[in-house]
Order: sequence, then C-alpha cells, then structure tokens
Amino acid sequence: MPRRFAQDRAALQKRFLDLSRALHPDRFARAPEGVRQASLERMGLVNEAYRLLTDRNAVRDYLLAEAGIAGKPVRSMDDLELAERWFELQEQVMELDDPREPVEKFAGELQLLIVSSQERMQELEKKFDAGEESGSEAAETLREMSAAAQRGNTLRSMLRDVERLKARVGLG
Amino acid sequence: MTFQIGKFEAPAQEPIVGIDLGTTHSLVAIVRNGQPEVLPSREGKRLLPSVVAVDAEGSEPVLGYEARKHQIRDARHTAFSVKRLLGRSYEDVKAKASEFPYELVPPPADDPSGLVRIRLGYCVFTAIEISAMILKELRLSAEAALGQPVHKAVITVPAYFNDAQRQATRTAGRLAGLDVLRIINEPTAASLAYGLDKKKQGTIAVYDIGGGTFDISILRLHDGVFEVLSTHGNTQLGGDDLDQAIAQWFLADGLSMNELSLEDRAALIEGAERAKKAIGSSGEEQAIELELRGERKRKVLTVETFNQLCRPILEKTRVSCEQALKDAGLSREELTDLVLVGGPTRLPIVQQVASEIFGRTPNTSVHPDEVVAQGAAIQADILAGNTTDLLLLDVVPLSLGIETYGGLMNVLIPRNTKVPATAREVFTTFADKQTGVDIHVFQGERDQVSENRSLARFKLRGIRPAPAGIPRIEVSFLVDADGILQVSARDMETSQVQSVEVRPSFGLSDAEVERMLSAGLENKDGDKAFKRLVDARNEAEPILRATERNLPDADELIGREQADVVRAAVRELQDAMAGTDPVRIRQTRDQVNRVTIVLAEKVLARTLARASSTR
Repeated sequence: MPRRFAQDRAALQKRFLDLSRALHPDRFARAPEGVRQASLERMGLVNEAYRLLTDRNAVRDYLLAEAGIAGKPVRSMDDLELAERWFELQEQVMELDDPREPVEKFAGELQLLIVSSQERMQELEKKFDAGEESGSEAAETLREMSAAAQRGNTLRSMLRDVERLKARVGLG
Repeated sequence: MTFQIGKFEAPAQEPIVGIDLGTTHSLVAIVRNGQPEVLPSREGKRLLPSVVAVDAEGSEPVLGYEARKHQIRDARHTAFSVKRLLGRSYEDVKAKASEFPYELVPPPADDPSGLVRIRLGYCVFTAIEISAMILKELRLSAEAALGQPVHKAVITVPAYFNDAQRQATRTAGRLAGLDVLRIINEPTAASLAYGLDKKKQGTIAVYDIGGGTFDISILRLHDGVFEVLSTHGNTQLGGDDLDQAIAQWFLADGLSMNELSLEDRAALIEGAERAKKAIGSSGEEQAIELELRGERKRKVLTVETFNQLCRPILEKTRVSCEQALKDAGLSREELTDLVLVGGPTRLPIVQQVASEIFGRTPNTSVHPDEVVAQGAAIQADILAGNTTDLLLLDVVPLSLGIETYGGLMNVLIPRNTKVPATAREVFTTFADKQTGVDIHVFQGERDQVSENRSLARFKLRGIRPAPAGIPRIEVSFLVDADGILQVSARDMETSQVQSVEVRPSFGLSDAEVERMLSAGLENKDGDKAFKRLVDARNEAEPILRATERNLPDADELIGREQADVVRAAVRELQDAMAGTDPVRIRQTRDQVNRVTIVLAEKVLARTLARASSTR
C-alpha cells in the first residue's frame, strides 16, 4: 500500500473482498481446529487493516506514530481567545433572559471553524501525498497535521459543550 | 475386501441445519437441491411456537402448539417469550416481571452466573434450559424429517444481542445436543435468503421486528458477498410490546397487570395477541371479551385505536434506523431496497412506520416468518462447503472496551467493526513485585463503564515480580465470527503465552456447562420426576386410606358385584403406589375415585343416619 492519504478506494475494496473470500472462517468450518483458528486470526488482521486504511484519522495516527511525533498539546492564541469567549458566554447565559442569540452565534462560529479546520486537514493530506514520503518536509507536514487534528478535537469538544449548554437552558 | 476409490473420499457429510430460535416461534430449515426448505415440526406444522409447558403429569415437557393450549389453562407451568430473558440477570428484568405470566425468581445466592430463573410449578429453570428444550425439539423434528441424526446447526440471534446473550444461545445449543457451528445475525440471515436470486449489487436495509427484538442492518451486496455496513437495534422491543399495549388499554383505568392472577394475565395477553393478528389480517375492528377476576369485560378495539397504541412503540425504531444509516455513512436515498422481516411486519401500521422512516416503499417478504430460518440454512450450506459463491461479512453490534482510570470506557473495538475483529492492548503493573492485573471488559456506547454492560472480567496472573511499570503484557482481544469474545495474553519480553480464564459476567462458564451436560440435566430430570412422584403419592394416599377403611362394609352397602370392582381398583392403586410411575398412580387413583362414588354416598348416608339417631 502506498504511504499516502488518498487511496484508490475501489482497488482497496476489491483486494479486501478477494482476501475475505479466500480467508474467511466460513470457508474453513470443516477444517481442523488449528486451521480454523489461523483463519480467524488472519481474517481479523485483514479486517483491522481494511478499517485503518479506510479511515483517514487512523492513517494519520499511524504515520504520526511511525514518525515518532507525539501528540504534544500545542496552544495557540486562537485557542486562548476562543476559551475566553466560551467562559464569557457561560456567564452571559446566566444573566440574560433570552440567551438564544449569543449562544447560536457562538455555535455558528464554531461550526465554521470546524469546517475550515477540516479543509486545512485535507490540504495537508494533499501536500503530504504530493511530496516525498520521508524527509524533513514530510515530517513538518505531519507535525502541522498533528496540531490541526488537535485543534479540530478542541473545536468539536467545545461545540459539544455548547450543545449541552443549549439543552440545559432549553434551546436544544 | 475390495479397495475402492470411495474409501479416500470424505465420509458422507452430516447434515447442518439452520435454526431460527425466535421469541414467539422457532423453525428449522435445511438446503436441499440448492434451495432452502423449512422442515416440519413433529406436530406437522411449519412453525414451532416457542412455548414450553412442564406438565404436572407425565415426565416430558410439552412444546409447541400443544404447550400453547396450556398457556391459559395452566399458566404457572408454561413458559414463553423466554428469549427476552436469555443472558439476562434478575436485576435486568425485575422491573418487567409483571409482563410475564409466569414467575421470575432471582438466582440462588451461591450461583455466580447471576442469571434470572423461571419458576414453573416446583421446578426452576434458566432461560438457557428452556431454550435448550426448544432447540432439542427442533433437532428431533429435523431428524424425523430427514431420517438421519442431526448434530450440527447454525443458530440465528438478533443482531443487537450482546456477548452474554450470544453465549447463552450457544450454551442452549450445546445442552440440546447440537454443535453450534455458527451464531449468525437474524437480519443478515434474512438478507441472504432475500438476496439469493435477486440483484447482485445494491445497498439494502433490513428492518427486522420479531416477537421481542428489533434489528436494523444496512448491507451492501457485491456479487455474492453480503457486507454488513452497520447494525443497530433494541433487544427489548417487538410484537410482544404491541400485545402489552393492547392489554393495558383493555384494562384501562381498572386493574393493573400486577393485580391479575397468572392465569388472567395469560388470558389477557393471548386475547390481545389474537385481536392484533385479526386486525392485521382483516383490517377491521375487533372485539375483545374476557373474564378477569371473575368479571366479564368486553371492549372493541378499533383500527384507529390500535394504530394509536402501536405507533409510539414502533416510533422507537426510528432512532436505531437513523443511527444505522449514519454509521454506514449513507443517506436513505442511497439505499436500493428496504426489506421487512418478522411476523409483525404483516401489520399495515408496521409497514407504514418503516416506509415513513426510510421514505420508500418496503419489499415485503412472502414468508416474513420463514426467511430468517431459510437464511440460516443457506449459511449452514456455506459452512458445509456446498455453497461457495456466497459469503457473509458481519459486524460487532456494540463497542467493546476495558475499564480505565476513573471508571471510563477505553474502546478497543468500536461498534460496526467487521468480525472477526482484533485489538491489542499492553498492560503493566502499578506496584513493585505485583504479579496479577485485573481487567474488566465492557460492552456498550457510553463513556462511563458503569452505564455499559459488564461482559467479563479476568486476571492476568503469574507476572514476573519486577518494579512497577516494567512488565509489559500484551492482551489480544478477538471477537470471533459468532460475535463472541476470546482473550489471550503474552508477556512481551519472554513471549510467554499466559492463560486467561474469562469469567462471563452473566452466564455459565465452560465448566458449568460441562457439569450440566454430564450430570446436571440428568439430575434435574431425576429431581423433577421425583417431585412428581411424591406429589402423585400424596394426592392418592388419602383416597386410598379412606377406601380401605370402608372396604369391609362394601359388600353390605353396595352389593358383592360392585364391591369386587372397587376391590380390584384398590389393588391396582396399591400396586401403582409401590411403583415409581406418577402417571399410573394418578390414573389408578382416578379409577378408584370413579368406582367409589356410590360407596362414598352410602357411607356418608350411613354416617349421617347414625349421627341423627344418637342425637
């Protein structure tokens, strides 16, 4: 398999189905115990590999782990600004009679930020796929990806908190 | 002896049957001449009602339609819908106990399985044992129909069954004398039967609502490979709930189910079920008339009221369907087929709700009760190696994980992962010279393990004494093609494989099953027979003593000829009492009762006459 994000889905699926037809435990139901167990374990590995290869996040985690890039928390001023506004919003909700407007506005902004972080991730994936498989440039791209992934996680978890807040104040 | 080439061929293959072990009905099927075929029950019917009556008389349990007759007459000795109790603890089901017209009891204190018990008269059973009786009946049906022994089977379970429920089904198969080659999911089996001669490509949703369970599965067909993309469901939702809703409506603000006797409950549920089926087939209102607590009550169930009662229950399937579509990464417009499976899908209201959810007209199967068994038979044929152009690729319905710091769930195998599914996790020690690590496995979708279902716990033992954090033990989790967990462990430094004994949280360990197989079942049968014998003797004894007491005067009171008849009957009863056959004791006791009617009258008249003359 090429070490890249964009995979030929059709080829990958065909390979997976061919392997399944050959290795699946259903094909060895009448075989001796040892053969049955071997089929079970191998098919398990094929399923695991197929699952990882069709999941971009899993591919990224794999490449990051391989390059030895640990998911160290990276804090930016953007994050700090966002966090401050989130605390502010929570206070406002307590004070306002109808907190609908500020809550919806913040949620909308978060959604936009999530979309743009997804776009950023796709750009980085393309950049990685277009470049050399190793080398300092690839490592730098992976590092950027790691940061972008964390940013995405932060945004999504904040959006979940906002949804919970909405439900709590009866806006859900 | 001639040397034949045939000698080198594989021995004639034993048949492998497909079994649909249903909440209300069960079936057995097999592929013959390339076509799945339902085998008739020993009652000569296509369906075997999943009902078991343990009669006070006779030593064998009664099953099927015959047992269903007992349901009302003798609710205390009749078990049905036990599938709802499979692999469940008493704590799980006690809130719903009033819905069952038989008594649910907690397990004995010294029983580690935690499984709920069912009391039928003197006898107490697990749902596994009752299910084993149904499976055994199906095995005997298949043997009678095929004219040869049957020991191998594929059994279907709801896709949303958890590990404990699957284990329980497999154990029931073993107790019934079956080698369960595969546990497969009902909607997947149905798709196999449905898609057999249909299109080779497509994306189908199987909406499967049975007596007590609901499943939705989304599959993609690729030239004979049936790939399950996602599955969801509810193991406590089915046609039975519609019956319950009708029953509650019938009682309305009068009585509650709790206040009814077991017999009245059974009659009420049966009446509700009959009305439901009649409305489904006729499309017209139905009157329900029942005598409850000695009072006759009649109510007319209109189609409109019926639909109003059903809708909120059926709407509960919507969230599962939406989640399944989402997990499959599909919109409902991308489906090519919507297939309905299960008896309740005959009801127009069920078809309507399903078509609303998916925004398309459903394909209704000709035999919604039979497609699951047919699919199981096809899977059996695949395992036999006869069918080689079909293959099922199924998934785990629920995420599997382990408890981590703060009682949180660390998911190792997410839901909808293809089976067999593997995952590995490295464990270490927290204290110096620690030699064991406890691992607790859960199944479910919540972040807190306490809100998920405990699946099993085990201890890694024999770890080399070393400073904390130094030993590294890799534990491999494997969910097999039946959806059942296997665990193995290996010391990463020495590569030494460690034995792991997994104790199921709700269920019987292998050793317990072995014990039940070798001795337990026999003993239990023996216990039951003994109780029946004691009962019969206790009932017969007063009659025998009374008759013997008055025998000397019999000639005078009823004449020599009649007295001889009585004496003969008494001798027969005495004989029977000396033996161990409870049925014979009952029969001869009844005979004594019948032939002593005149004698009893005369004795009574004489006693009364003496009493008045002495006054």
